[in-house]
Amino acid sequence: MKLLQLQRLTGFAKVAIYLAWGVGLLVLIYGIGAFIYTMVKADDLSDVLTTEIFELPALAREQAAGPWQSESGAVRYRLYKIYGEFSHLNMPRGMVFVAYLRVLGLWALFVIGTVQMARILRDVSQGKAFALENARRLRIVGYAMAGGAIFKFFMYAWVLIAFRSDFVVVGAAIPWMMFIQIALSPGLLLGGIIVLVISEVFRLGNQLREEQELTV
Amino acid sequence: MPIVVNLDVELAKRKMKLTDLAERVGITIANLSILKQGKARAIRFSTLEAICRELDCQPGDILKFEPGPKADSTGVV
Repeated sequence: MKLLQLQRLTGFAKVAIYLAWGVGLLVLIYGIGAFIYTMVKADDLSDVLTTEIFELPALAREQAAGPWQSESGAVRYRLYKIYGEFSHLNMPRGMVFVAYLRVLGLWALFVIGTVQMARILRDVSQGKAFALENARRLRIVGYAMAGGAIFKFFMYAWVLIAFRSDFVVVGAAIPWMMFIQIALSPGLLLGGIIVLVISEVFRLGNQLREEQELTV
Repeated sequence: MPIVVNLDVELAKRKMKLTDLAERVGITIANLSILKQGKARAIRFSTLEAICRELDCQPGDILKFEPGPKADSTGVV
């Protein structure tokens, strides 16, 4: 099959990388604007409706007895099993800040990674695949991926610890499985490690290229 | 580097230019220049053979060993 033949995919990959970079940059710019708008407009004292993802059986019993106020004293939550609107404008500013910090941080790492990949592809198309600079760029991509997975995990942990009173009822079990499923990104972490290994291969490739170039 | 290349001495003896030798040996002048300046990491036997044939000399006339600073770990045999 022609698809299985080792054809150069530089052109296709270049289009994909530049498209990803463009989308990432647009999302990042939009996210920064939304963050600024949210921090200015967020209202700590409004009632809020959340989706069922935060509903807990113990919390449902709690809310049936009346409005429930979090320990922070800043927000009241009413949790219903509805498919209503989850409005970040009704959340505590601290939680909104952490949530946006996580999202913007991850998108910034994505943009950094795609920029490095675009520069690598540019060198590949010029026949300089194993330049030492590309090993360094791949290392940046690997750190961005693996670091992004670790960063995401600690940001979720921060929210769970710092704001647990806002969505965890005292005495109720903490939704560890839900937390782990949301917070962990094993694919991203493993992918980052794989890219770091490939960067070492590129570094060795650069050494072999130099040896070959200086062999007369 | 402990291996010293005396290519320019042999060229001067024969009043031959580097460009002429490069053309006769069949390698680029850039590569021959790398060899002349002592920056080469390795030399192929085929290249050494061609140089000695064109200059009518022995490998020892072109390459000399002068112990000096320790060679780096990437020395090629």
